[in-house]
Amino acid sequence: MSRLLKYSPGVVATGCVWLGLSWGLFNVIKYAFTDVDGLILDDPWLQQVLLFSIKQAGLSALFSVGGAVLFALAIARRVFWGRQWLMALLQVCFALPVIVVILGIVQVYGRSGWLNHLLGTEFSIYGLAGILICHVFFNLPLATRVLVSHLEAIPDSYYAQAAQMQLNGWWRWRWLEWPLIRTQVVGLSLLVFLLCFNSFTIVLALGGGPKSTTLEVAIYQALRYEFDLPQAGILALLQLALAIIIAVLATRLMPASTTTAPISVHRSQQALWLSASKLWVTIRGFGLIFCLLPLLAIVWGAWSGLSAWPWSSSLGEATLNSLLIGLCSSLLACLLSLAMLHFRQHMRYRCVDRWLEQTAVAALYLPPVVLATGWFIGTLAWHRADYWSYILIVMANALMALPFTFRLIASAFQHCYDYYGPLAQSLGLRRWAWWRWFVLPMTNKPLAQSLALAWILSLGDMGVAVLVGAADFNTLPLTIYRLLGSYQLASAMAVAVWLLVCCGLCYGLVYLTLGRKSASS
Amino acid sequence: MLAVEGLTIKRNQQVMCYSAQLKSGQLCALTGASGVGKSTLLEAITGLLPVTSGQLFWQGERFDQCVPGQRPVTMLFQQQNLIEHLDVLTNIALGVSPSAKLTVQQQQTLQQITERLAITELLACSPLSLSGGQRQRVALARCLLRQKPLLLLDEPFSALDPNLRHECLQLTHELQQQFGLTVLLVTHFPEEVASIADCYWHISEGGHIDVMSQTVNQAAK
Repeated sequence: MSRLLKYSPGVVATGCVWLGLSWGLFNVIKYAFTDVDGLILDDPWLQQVLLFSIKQAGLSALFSVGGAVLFALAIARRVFWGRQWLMALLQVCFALPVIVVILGIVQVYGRSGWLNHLLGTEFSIYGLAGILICHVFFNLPLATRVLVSHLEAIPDSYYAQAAQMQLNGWWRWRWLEWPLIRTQVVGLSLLVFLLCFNSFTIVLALGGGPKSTTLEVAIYQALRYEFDLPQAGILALLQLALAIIIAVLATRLMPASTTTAPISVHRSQQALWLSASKLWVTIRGFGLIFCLLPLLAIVWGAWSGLSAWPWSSSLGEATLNSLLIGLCSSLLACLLSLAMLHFRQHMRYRCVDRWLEQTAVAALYLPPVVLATGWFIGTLAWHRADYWSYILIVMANALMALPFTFRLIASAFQHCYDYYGPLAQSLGLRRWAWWRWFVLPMTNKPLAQSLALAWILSLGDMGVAVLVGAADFNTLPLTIYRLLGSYQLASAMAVAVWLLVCCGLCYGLVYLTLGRKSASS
Repeated sequence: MLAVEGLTIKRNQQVMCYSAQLKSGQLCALTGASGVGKSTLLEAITGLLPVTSGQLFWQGERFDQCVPGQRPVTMLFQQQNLIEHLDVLTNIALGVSPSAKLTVQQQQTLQQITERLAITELLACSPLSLSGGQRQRVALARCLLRQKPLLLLDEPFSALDPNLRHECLQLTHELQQQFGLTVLLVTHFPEEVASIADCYWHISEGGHIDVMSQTVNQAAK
């Protein structure tokens, strides 16, 4: 009995994740092979779509990581006022709802946006340029945070030596910084390439016409406009194959994540001798403006569009849908993480360990649209009752949040077992007592963090809802997308701010109720 | 002559004010209780710590306004003197050339030094594969190659076992004589450096320095 209790939650959780993943993939593959002849690689349309998918992902990775290297150096080389705030802003950028950012970017760089207004030009955001700006907005902060944490991990003694040997500017980069972040730069480039290759919402909203269509959007069109299931299956299979190749490369090259160490005062004094250049201040300024402008644009747009506030019963329904789906998927993601981590503690074998970790992060590499396509095809037989949309979206969102929740909780969980495991055993505290007095109090903070993050990610997700939702299905991001599609920019802005407020409220709610009292910091 | 004149450093709540002089070509041992500010003084002379006031002179020339690399000073830390992802040769060469390319002259000097320190065979190795004693000798080689007249040693051999520590101290003394260096050496064991020290700076609370000359030292012997 006790053995059953020990292993069953973990086995069930891992099994569910695997079942979900493989069921989706199975459906895709099944339909793809009903019409293998349909896969004609020398079809010029397909070639164009494929080429554009790779081109936009490659350029996004280049600009994101290239910019991130400069930005990270500008942040890590100096201690300056507001450093903490800048790092927090970078974190916020990454968790923002995609559709909200798209709106903000349209407001800044769009045809009648601020930039065109300022320069008197007619630059159009739709197409490659807009896609790149959006992708860089999301991935530059991500890459910057990773690189800053690695730059800060460079030992103080290296800086002391560099100061003595007068290694400045280029030479410090050549001998200290580049050798230590080289692997990160390569790994991050592949990761960003993959994320952009799998990106759906941004391309759907900003890709203009057939010239700038990616595989993901082509899948959506085949599925929802032409209802050509074999075609969708083939495209999804192609997407999947390419994504897996890149994912394997990325996991091989990307070393395990490291923790962020706070920069020491001692370091800052030494750094003062080493760099005092206006260049870095300029780069920091550019980075800050780039991250901040779209956010300001949304607030400003909402303020000016207050009269067009589209309050209606459908907005209420959309809000409720979004909040409920978010709550369910975040709870599911956290439960899955806990069950899998529990399992890992009791199965201390290397291979199980790796396998669980890979399962948890699988959703980071697998294109969500491909999975959702598989599920969509699979549930067609059930007449697609209304609640299936809910279930599918909750499942997909939970899987998408799993890599983050798993990793957030993992180290506190491990610490709890390592630190108090023997004590609890000697006291005979087991099962519920163990969870109640040790695990939950000690993992309370990361648990609250994961719950909040998963909720926000789900609130902002639109891709899966677009793909599997019925025509009258409504969430907040979908409302914004439809308003944007009908050029009601002011109303869209207002809903976007409402969505941000919801995100903030959810985050605050979870934090105040769960994350407040912490047994260990 | 090295002159430290009213060098004031604020660290946490403590204020330390140092004043002392050291003749050229002498080896001076810095003693005092832990946390009293021995390393702080060395780091301030090297330029790694900012000072609030006071002046530093070498042979009458003020150098406290210079950046660390331009001071007539080179410092050997207790540990972690090497950059671990670069090989030994690069680690040493960076001391005199940021591109790690040495002139013929520098290469000759390097050869003499490495032979003297018995590390010629280690030049292609990674610092990670070296023992503690080997690492400190490599770091010492870099200090010597830089040919700065002032050598500051912050408990350089305290991580080594007593026999090795004694050997390394003797070697340091010989090199000091050979290169005509002025040396400040932090130590927790004054008796160990009794045979090589020309004088002592005993630091007490607030950075007060009692200078004890070699005559006292020899009388003690």
